[in-house]
Amino acid sequence: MKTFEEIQNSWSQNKEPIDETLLSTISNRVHHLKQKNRITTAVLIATVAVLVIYLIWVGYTAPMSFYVGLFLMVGSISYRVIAELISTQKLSKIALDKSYHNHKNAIEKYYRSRLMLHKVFTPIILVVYWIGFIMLIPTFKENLSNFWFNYTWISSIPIAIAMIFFIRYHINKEQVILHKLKEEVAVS
Amino acid sequence: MIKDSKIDFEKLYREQYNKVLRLCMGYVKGDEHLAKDLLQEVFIKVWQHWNGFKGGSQRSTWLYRITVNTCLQQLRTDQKYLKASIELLDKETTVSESIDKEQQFKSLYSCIYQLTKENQSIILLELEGIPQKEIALIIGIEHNALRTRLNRIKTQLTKCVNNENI
Repeated sequence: MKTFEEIQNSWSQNKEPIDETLLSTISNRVHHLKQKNRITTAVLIATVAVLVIYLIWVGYTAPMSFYVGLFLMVGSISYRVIAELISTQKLSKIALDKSYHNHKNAIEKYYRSRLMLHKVFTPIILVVYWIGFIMLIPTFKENLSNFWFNYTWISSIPIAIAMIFFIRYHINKEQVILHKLKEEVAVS
Repeated sequence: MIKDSKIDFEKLYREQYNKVLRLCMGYVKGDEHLAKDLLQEVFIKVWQHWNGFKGGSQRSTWLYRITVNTCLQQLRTDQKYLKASIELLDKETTVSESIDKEQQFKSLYSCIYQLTKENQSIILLELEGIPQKEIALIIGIEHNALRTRLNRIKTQLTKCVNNENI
């Protein structure tokens, strides 16, 4: 392959038999993706409904601080889950039939907004979550045995650490993608 | 309606299978297994967006845009594509001509891989013989700018294939 024309000629001669089995695999995967979306939405609606019913029920029997604390915990987590779902939807709505440059710009904008979500909103959401948890502690102390009370607050420490690592992991992941996007058009 | 779309989709799949597979192979250093995974992702997106085709361009231009964007997005987000390696010579080959050809392709994939992702996309589309005006639309740059860029990439690639470095 001495000239570009020779390279091009060899390139186009590289042919494979068409894989007909992939057609049914594609069809099945599209079907499963649709089903997965429906299940995710149903699970989310059911979870929110159960939590709201539980909150209303608890509100009549528990002290105000417990109710507010629980509301802050459930509310912050629900908000984060909804924000994640909206973000995932945004990504799937970025048109794939745009030119490479337009698509790349839209993807870059999307990942920058994801970084904002991880760096700014998620820490705020976690602070609200932990304020909620702290508000529940007096009620836990009153109503739980020593063993379960200790278990609850001690187990909250690894959960808090895991949450910090979770945020760090996602920030790193998205920063790597943004770095790759920049490298794609760098002068070679 | 859906049945007609499915027939058209399958027709496009069979017509474009080899072109899309070669494009995908160009992004993963000729790793056929990974390229087939990419091809699958491409045609899943094609089917999901089938009704979004407005007819402003040719169906093939639309398909190549989806191919380029899907392949590059997969490469950005899925770690398995980082493991792509040139395995062509690992296959047992008995005919010397085949060895030569495989060696040439190994070298070609390696040279393509040294380019930026944008330039990889441009040269892969050119290797497929897609008209330059169409490539300019797929990439999103002016036709004149593409022509200049393409000349440079072609020279780089030819030199690399013959000398093993850019």
